[in-house]
Amino acid sequence: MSVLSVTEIIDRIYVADALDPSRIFIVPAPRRESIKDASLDLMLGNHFIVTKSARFSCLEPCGDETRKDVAQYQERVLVPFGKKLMLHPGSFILGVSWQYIGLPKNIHAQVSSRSTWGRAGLTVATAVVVHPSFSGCITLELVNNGNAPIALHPGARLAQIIFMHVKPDNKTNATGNSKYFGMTEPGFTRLHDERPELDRWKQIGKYVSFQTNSEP
Amino acid sequence: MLELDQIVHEQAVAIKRLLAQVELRQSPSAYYDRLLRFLIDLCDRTEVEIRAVSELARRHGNGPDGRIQQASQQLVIFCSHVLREIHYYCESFDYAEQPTIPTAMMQLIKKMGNQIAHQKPFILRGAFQFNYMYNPIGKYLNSLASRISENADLLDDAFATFSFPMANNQNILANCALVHEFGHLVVDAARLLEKLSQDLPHEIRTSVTQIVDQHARAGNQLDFGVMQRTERANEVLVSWIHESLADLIGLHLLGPAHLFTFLYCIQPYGKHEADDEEHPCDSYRVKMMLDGLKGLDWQDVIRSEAPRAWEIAQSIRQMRREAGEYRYDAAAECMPILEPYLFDSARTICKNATYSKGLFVSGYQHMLELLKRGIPPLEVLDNSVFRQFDAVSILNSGWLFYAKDFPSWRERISYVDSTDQLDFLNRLLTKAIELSFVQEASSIVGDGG
Repeated sequence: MSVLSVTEIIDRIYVADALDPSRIFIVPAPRRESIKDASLDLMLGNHFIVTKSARFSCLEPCGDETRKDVAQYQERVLVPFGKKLMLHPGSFILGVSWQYIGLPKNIHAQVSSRSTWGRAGLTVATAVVVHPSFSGCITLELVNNGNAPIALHPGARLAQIIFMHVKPDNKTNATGNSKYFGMTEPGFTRLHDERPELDRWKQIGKYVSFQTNSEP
Repeated sequence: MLELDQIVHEQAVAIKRLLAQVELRQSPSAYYDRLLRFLIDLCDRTEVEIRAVSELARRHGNGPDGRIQQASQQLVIFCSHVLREIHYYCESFDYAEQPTIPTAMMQLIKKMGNQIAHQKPFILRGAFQFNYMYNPIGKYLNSLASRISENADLLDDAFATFSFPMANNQNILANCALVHEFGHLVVDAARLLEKLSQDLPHEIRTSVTQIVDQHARAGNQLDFGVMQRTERANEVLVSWIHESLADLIGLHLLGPAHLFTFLYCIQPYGKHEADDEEHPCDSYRVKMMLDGLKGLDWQDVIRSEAPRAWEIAQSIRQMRREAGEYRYDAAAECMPILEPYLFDSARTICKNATYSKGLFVSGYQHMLELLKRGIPPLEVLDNSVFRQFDAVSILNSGWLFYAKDFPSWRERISYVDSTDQLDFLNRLLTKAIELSFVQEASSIVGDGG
């Protein structure tokens, strides 16, 4: 798995046949002369999900009310261009990239903070992997790890994306596999989707007991 | 009396409290703020008026023949009516937050307003009722405010609200219907009905009058006189003209997307032959739109790219011929005579803003291909240069994509509105339109790369 160079990125975006399946779609596309590093900057979009106080004790993927709890805990906010959203120390919100990305089957990508913002205490992405064939705006998990509030302006270049070659696999199809395919706004967490797997482990726990002596 | 003014006073206090809560919300537009400030001012003035009236009644007692008491009571009742209206508009601010209104559509309508020089204030309002409506509140609220106080703050007379069903909040394809409502605003703001009436040749005006008179005389409703029947027939005719002009303006501004949206919106009702006092029957409206599209040279594109939709439109058109008589005979008989003048009127007002086939055809195959691949149809790489599409082309490509790739379109749209596929398509189109507006603005302010 190797990282795409500047030339390769340009060649993948500016493909002679606009509908070539190997093309990396970035809408809006960066100007050719602005691509200087082996990465592309991602701008912050203006849709956010902010967290708010809720009455439940914790976000429990195995709870019966998980979906409702998540809706109580998070709220959509739209910040117009030219306005800002304050991210206070220790706070967490979901943002989204302004660009819409469409990856071919043989390209995998990773998102990370730009150091300018990282040095201010902002962590931009905690779930950094973008799978081959993914299509959509990229959700940015924003956390302020610093001691001062940070003003988030839609349009700001917060993150960067690097692209990597991956051996193409015809069986892989993100349209069927990814929960967040085709999103243009940040999506609420689908924590409840984790429940079947955790329930299975609960069943296993009934048969396999790793108790210590001190426990009853 | 004391009891009544006390009740109305409490009503004013409660509504002020409600307005204060609305004021705390994030505002989706400056027009929304304008209306809110107007309502707060009107509520304050109404409260002052109630106090003054109560005080007057207390000081002067009953007066000769109880006239003061009676007049005061009427004023207090009027104040209560004003407060009820404020309450109604206050409630309409529910779901007026930015994430719940189709902002891309709002931006598009504003742009259209700029293009045809009728940039009038409006707000979009989500409603539970499954209908798109135009409400010209400016004149009405101004008349209430003037009766409460001579110095009252006034709104622009053309101030309007467009309501859309909350269920269609994210459905940008269905929300194209707002352009029809915008057409109503243009008809009022540009005084198109007055202009039309002036420009009509004498013989046409005479024919219309004769038709209305004949129907009024022949009417066999014994409980109405001829005068009343004539007046009623004229009102129906004016409403139909208003509606048809709004349709034609929508058609000029949006192209085929307007017809597709209309077919989509009337689909759940399925009664294409019914007309009412405000609207000609759907089949007649479809017929007019098809004629309009023919005039704009669009029919070949629809026929070849969306044959199913074309077929549906033709069949609805046919229904009018088979349905026979209308309920509102006079208006129905006058409309065909007036049609050429309505087309002229819409063409003149839309002028350069008319969406022509030339703006669309050169890139729409690419747009359809991008949509198939799950990419917003914003721009196409053409000889290594990105060429950008405009918002109306994006909407038309979305409708053609929807109509083309769903062979059983008519049957399916009624039942699968909320499918993931339609949601996905709407998301792509909304994103493309948002990007398109920002790209356009970037070209004005300069692109930083």
